[in-house]
Amino acid sequence: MPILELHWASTLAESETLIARMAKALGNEVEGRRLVEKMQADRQVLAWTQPPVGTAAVLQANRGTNGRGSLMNELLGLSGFRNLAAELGLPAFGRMSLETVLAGQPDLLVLDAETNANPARGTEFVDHHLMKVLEERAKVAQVPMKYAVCAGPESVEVLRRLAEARAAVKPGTAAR
Amino acid sequence: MNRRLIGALLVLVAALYALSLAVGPVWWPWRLGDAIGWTIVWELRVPRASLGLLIGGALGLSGAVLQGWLRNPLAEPGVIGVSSCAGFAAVCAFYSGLAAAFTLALPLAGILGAAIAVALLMNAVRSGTGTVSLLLMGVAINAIAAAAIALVLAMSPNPFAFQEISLWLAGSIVDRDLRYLAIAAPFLLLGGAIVLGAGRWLDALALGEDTAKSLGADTRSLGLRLTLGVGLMVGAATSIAGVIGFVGLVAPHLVRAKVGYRPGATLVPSMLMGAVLVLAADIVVRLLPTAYELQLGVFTSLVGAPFLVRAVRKARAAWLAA
Repeated sequence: MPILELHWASTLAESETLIARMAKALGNEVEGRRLVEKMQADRQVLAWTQPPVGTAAVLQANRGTNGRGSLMNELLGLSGFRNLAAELGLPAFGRMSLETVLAGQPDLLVLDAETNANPARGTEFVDHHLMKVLEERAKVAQVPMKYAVCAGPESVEVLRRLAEARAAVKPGTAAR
Repeated sequence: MNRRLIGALLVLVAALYALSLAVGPVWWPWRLGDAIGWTIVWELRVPRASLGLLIGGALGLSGAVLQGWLRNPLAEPGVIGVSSCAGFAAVCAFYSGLAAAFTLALPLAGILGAAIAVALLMNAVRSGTGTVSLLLMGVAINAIAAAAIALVLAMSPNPFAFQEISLWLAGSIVDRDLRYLAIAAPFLLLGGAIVLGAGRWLDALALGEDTAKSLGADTRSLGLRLTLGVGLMVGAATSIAGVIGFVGLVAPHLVRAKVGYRPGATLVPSMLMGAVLVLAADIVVRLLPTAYELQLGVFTSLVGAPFLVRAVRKARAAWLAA
C-alpha cells in the first residue's frame, strides 16, 4: 500500500498544495483542481482589500489564542482585522489573559460557542463578568475552532463569519 | 508575643493584598486612569486577591485545627485527602451541569466531600494507630479521589474537560470573578467563625482526650463542630480554586514555636500565615518567566513538600525515641 506523507497545513496556500498532492495520489486531479479553484474564488469574494477595519482578539479554551504564523492570523488579515495576539508577539498557539484582551481594546472578539456549550473550567471564561464588559465594547463573532485549526475548504466558513462581523464593526468605534 | 506576631502578620497580609491588586499582565492598572484600568482592578484583581486572602486563611486555619484536633503535626487538608475528596464532589457538581443550574451546588458539594473525608479520617484515627492510620487513610482517599476525578472528567462531553485534572489537583484562582467570591466567602467566613472559638478545647485536647473530658470538654460535639468548620472552609475553598496543597501544613509550622506550641494559640496566626503564603504564591506565579502561568497549587506544593519531609523525619525521630 503506498504511503503519502503530508505535513501540517497552517496557511491557505499550503492547504491548496496538499489538496493537489492528495488528489494526484488518489488519481483524481480534476476534482482536486476544482476544489482548489472554488476555495480561491470564495476567498476572492470574501477577502477585504481595503485597510484593516479594526483589531480582533481570538479567545479559546484555557485562555488560548492564535498569534503569529497561525491560520487564524491569516484569516483575520484576509478579513480586514489586525490580530491582537500577533501584535503582542504571541506564537501560533499562545495564551492571552482576559486583562490583556481588555487592555488591547479589540473591536472584535472571536469566540467558539460550540466548545463552550458544556461546562469545563477551560471554557467558563465566557461567563466571566469581564466578558460582558468586553462584549459591550466589541462585536462578537462565533467561529467554530474546528474550522480554524487546519487550513482547508472549511476555512472559507471562517472568512464568511468574519466578513459578517466586519460589516457590523465600524473602524474605531470600540469605546476607547 | 502573640499580639505582636498577629500585628506583624496583619501588616504583611495588607501589603501582599495591595501588591496582588497591582501585579499582573497590566502593572498598576489604576495608573491607566480610565474605565479599563478600574475594570481590571474590580473585575479581576479584587476577586483574585480576596479569594487568595480568604482561601489562604481558611487553609492555614484548617491545618492548625486538624493538627491540634488529631494531635498530629502532619495533618493537612491536602496531605490527608480532605481537599481531594472535596475536589471530587465539586467536580461532580461542576461537570454534571448542576453548578450551572444552581450556583450554590458547587460549594455545597465541596463542603459535603470535605466533611465526609474528615469523618472517615477521624474514624481511622480512633480505630487505628495514630499517625500511620491517618497517613494511610489520607493516601487512600487521595488515590480514590484523583481516580474518581479523572473518571468524571473523561465522561464529560466537553473536549477540554479531560485536560483539567491538573486544574483540580493543583489549584488556581486566576480569572475567578466576583460571583465566585460571593458564593465562597460566606462559607469560608462561617467555617472560620465556627472553629476559631474552639481554641481552648484544642489546648485541653493536647493533654489527652480523657483529661480534656475532665476539664469539661464535650469531645463528641467538639468533633462535630470541627468537622463542620473544616468541611465548610476546605470544601468551599477547593470547590472554587481546586486543591492548593501544603498551606495547611506549612502555616502552623511557621508560627507554632512563636506561640509556645499551644494548639489554640496557633489558630489566628496560622490563618494569617496561610493568607500570607497564598497571596505571596499567587503573586510569584504571575511573575515567574514561564510560558504559561504556573498553577498556584503547583508552586505551594513545590515549596511545601520539603516541610512535609522535615515533619515526617521529626515524627519518626520522636517515635524512635519513645
